[in-house]
Amino acid sequence: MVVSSQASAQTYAQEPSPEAIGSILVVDCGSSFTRVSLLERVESGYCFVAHAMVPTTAEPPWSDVSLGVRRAIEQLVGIIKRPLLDERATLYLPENRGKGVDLFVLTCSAGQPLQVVLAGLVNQISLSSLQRAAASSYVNVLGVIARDFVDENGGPEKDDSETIRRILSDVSLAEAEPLKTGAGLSDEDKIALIRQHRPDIVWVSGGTDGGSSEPVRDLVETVALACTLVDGSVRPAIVYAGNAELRSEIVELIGEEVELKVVDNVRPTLDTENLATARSAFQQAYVERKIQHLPGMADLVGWTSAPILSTAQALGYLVLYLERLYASGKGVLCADVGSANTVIATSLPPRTPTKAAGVSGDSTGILHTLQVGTGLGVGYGAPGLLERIGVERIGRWLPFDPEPGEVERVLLSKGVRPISVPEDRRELLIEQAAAREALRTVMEKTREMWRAAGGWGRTIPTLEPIIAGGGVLVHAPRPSQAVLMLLDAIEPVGITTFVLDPHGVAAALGATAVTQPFAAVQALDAGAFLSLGTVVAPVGRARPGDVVLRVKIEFEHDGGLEIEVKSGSLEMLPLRPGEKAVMELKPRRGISVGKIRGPVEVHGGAVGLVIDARGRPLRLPPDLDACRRLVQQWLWEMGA
Amino acid sequence: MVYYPSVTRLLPLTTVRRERVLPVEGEVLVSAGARVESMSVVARAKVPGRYVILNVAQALRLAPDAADKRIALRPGQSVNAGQVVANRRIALGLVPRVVRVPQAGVVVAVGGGRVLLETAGQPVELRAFLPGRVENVLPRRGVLVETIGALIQGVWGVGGESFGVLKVLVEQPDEPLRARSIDVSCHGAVLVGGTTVDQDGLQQALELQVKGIIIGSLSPATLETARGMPFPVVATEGLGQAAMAQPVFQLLRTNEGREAAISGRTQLRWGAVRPEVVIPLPARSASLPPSPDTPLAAGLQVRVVRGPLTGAVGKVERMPSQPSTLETGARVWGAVVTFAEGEQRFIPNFNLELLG
Repeated sequence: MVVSSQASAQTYAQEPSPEAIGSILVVDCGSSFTRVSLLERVESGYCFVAHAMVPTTAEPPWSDVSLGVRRAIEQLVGIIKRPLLDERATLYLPENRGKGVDLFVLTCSAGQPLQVVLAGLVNQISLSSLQRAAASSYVNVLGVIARDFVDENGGPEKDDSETIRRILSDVSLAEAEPLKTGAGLSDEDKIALIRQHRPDIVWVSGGTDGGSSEPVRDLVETVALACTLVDGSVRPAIVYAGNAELRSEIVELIGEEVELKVVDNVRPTLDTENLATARSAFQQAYVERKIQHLPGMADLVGWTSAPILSTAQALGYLVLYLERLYASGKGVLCADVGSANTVIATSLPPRTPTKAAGVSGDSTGILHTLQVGTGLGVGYGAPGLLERIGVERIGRWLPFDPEPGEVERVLLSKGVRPISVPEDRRELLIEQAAAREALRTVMEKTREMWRAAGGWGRTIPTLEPIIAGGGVLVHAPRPSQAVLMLLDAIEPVGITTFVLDPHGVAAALGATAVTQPFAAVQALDAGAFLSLGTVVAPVGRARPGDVVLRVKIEFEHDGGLEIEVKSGSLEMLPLRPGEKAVMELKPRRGISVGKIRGPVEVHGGAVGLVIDARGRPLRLPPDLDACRRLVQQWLWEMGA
Repeated sequence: MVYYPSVTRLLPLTTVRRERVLPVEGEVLVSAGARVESMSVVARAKVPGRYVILNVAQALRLAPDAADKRIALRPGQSVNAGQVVANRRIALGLVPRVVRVPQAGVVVAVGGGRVLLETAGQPVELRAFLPGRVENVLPRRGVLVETIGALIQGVWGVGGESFGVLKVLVEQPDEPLRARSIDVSCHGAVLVGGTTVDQDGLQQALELQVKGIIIGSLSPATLETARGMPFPVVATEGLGQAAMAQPVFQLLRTNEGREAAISGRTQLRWGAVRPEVVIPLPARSASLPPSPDTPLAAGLQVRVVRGPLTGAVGKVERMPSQPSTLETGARVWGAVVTFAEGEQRFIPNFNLELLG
C-alpha cells in the first residue's frame, strides 16, 4: 500500500480568516508540562494576556493528554476571568460574546519517539544522510542495516575516488557518533533485527539516481520480507528514499502487504545530499504515528484549524520565519532544553553558494538546520543523558566536588520525578550542569551540520537573537544562571541578544506562522518573551589576562563608563529591561567582535550587558580542582 | 492555584486488577471466573524461533526459477532436521547435490530459488502473578486477574516478578537491611528492609535464595548489582538513602507472614509501569483505588518526593496564596505540610505526591 505524503485521517476545525482572529490560545504539550498562553489583539497588534502551566497527563494514572490541557485552560480562566470551556469542557471556538478564542494552536513533544531501523548500502554515505534526516525529529534509531556496498556509479574502484573521500571527510556527524552498524549482516540477521525491534518504520536508502539497482532491490526485498513476518497489528511500514529510478519496481516488489511511502532520494548523486523530503517525512511520521495516537489527542485535534506540529518542527518554522523577517544578515537560533529532549533550530543567512554536499541550503541560500537530541533532556531524559554523556562530563560544570553517587542519584531520580524541583543549591547546579551538556551535545551536532553544509567552514556564524526555552532555563532562580548556561553551551560569538521564552510560546508561534503569518508577526511582540540582555563575545588569540577589548558605553539616562576587558574574563554590566545604551567596541588587533562599524545601540534585559571574553572554543582546565575554581569564578562573575 | 499531584498507591485493602498478556499470540488456558494461584499458568505461546534462508539456487548452481521447480517443500509445511529440500545430480549425473533442512521448523516462504524456514520456537508460559479470580479473558493474548488485598506502589524497581512470604528484618524504617540479618530463615521469603541494602546484603540474599527485597531506597552504587539479582528489588522511595516512609513500613509490617506478589518492573514512560507489592487478603470485597483526580488541599496525606525530607509523610496544613522562595532562590507554589512531631515545612507542589 503506497501512502500519500499528505495522508491524514484527522479532521481539523475550519481555518479562520486573519482579520477574524482576535484571540489565540497557544498550547505546547511537553513531556512533563503542558503550557497554555492567551494572546489577544489590541489596536497595535497582539498582546500576551496570561499563561498557565500544569503537569502533562499523558501517562498513567491519567493517560489522557487532553485532561492536562483542560486543567491548564481552567487555570487560565481563573486568571483572565472569562470562560473558555463549555459545560462539556470543550473549547468555545470561535470567540463569541467574550467566550472562547478564535484560534487554537497546538504543538506537542509528548509522544514516544518514532522507532526506526535505517537500511542502506553504504554506512558513510546514504545511511549517514538518513541519520541526519532522522535527527530533525524525535526519532530513536533501533538499528542500522548496511550493506557497505560502494555505489557502482562512483566507487573507489572507478574514477571517482576523490569524490568519495571528500564526502567521507564532510560527513563528520557519522564520525563523531558511529552508526549502530549493521554492515555484514546476513539476511537472517537483518530479518531478526526487524522482527526483534518491531520498529514503526524501516527507512531504506541507497543507490544514486540511476545508479545501483541490484543491491538496492536485494535490500528492499529482504526488508520487505522481514516486515511481512511481523504481526500485522505492529507491522513496520517502509519508507523508500533511495535510487529514484527504481521507484516503480520497489512499489511492485513490496506489494500490498506492507505500507510503503516513497520520498526523494537522500543521495541523488554521490556529492549531493537532499534531505528536505526525508526530513519532512520523519516529522510527519512522528506526528501521525505518535502525537496523534496519544490518549486524548483526538479531542484536541478537533479544536485546531491547523495541522498539529511537533514542538521541534514548529521551532524550525519559527527560526526560518524570523530569519526572513529580521533579515539582519545574522543567523537565528532557538534552543529548547526539555524534560525528555533537547532541540536546536537555526536559520543562517546565505554566506557563500551552498556546496553540492550541503545539508540544507534552499533556493534562497538560507541554511536551515533542525537538530533534535532525542532522549537528551533534564527530566525524563536525565537518566539517558547520564548514560550517554557520563558523570565526568556533567560533573566538570560543578563548582564543588560531588559526593560519590550524588550526580547519579539526582539525575536518575529526576527521571522518575521529572517535574520535581531542586530545593538546595547543589541539586540545582547538578541539573544545570546536565542542561549544559545536553545543549552542548546538540549544539555540536548543529555545528557539524553547518560545516557539512559548506560555506561556514570553521567560521562560527553570528546569531541574532538566540531564543531559549525549557524548564531548566526559564525556571532558573536567577536569569544570569540561564545566560551562563547558554553561554557555556552555545558559545556565541560577536554581538547577540538572548531572549527567554518563559511561557513556552515559541513553538506555537512557529506553528501559527505556517498558516497565519500576520498573526504570528504581531504576536512576536506581544510581550510573551523576556529579553535577558545583550552579549558581546570577542574571539581571537590572546594570553589570559591580556586586554582584548575596550568598551565605551553611553547609557540612555545614567551617563557612561569605559572598561577594559581581559582575556578569560566574564563581565556583567547593568542595563535594565527597556533601557538602551550606545556601545563603542575597540577590540585589540587579532580579536574580532564581528562586522561592526562605529557605535552600536544595545538593549537591556533581565541580566543586562554581558561581555564574555573567555575565548572560543571554551576550554575547561583538565585539572579538576582548577576546573571547579574556574566554574565557581564564572558563577560569581555572573552573580549566578 | 489548583494543583493535581501525582499519586502513589498505598492501600491497606483494595481491589487490584492486572492484565497479564503474552508477548505473542498464543493459547489462554483458563476461563473467566476461574480461581488462580500466583504460580498458575494462565496462558502459553511459542515465541517464534529464528529464521533461516536456504539459498537452494546457489547450492545447486541453478537459476532461481529452475531451483524453485526442484524445491520439494511448500509454505506452512513442518520439516525435520535433515529432510531434503531439493536435489540435483551434476557431473554427468554422477555426483548428487542435496540441500537439507538444517533444523526442525516450518517453511514460511519459497521463491527466488530460496526457502525461508522458521525454526521451532521456544515455549513461554504466562503465570497469574496475583492469586485471585480471572475477571476477563483476552482471546489469544491473556487474562485480567483480580484480587483483593493491600497494594503498595514502589518508585524504582529492578527484576521481574516473584511471590513469597513477607519477612521484616528491621525494627525501624530508617534502619538499613544488613547482610548479617539475612539468615537461613529468609530462604524463599520476600524481605523488607528500611533505608537501603548494600552489595553484601544483596549477595547474602542471593545465596539464601530469597524471593524479593522491599527497601526504602536503592543507592546508585548498588543499582547494577541489584539488576543482576534473580529476584525483584522494589524501592519504595526511589534512589539514594531515604528511609522507607513510615506508613509504607507500617503496612508491610502489619502483613508480615502473609504471602506477597512483588514486581520490580519499572517503565518510566509510554504506558508507565511502576514496581509494586500486592498482598492478597481474605476479604470478600473491597473498592477499587480512588480516582487520581484529587487536587492538593488541606487535610490530605502527602509524601515528599525530593529534597532533604524525601520520604517524609505528613498532612497538608494549608495552601499559601502566594509562592514562596526556596534556598535556591526559586519562587514556587507549594503547601505547608505538618510532619510527625508537629514540625511544619513549606514544600513545593511539584515535590509532593498523594499517598493513598
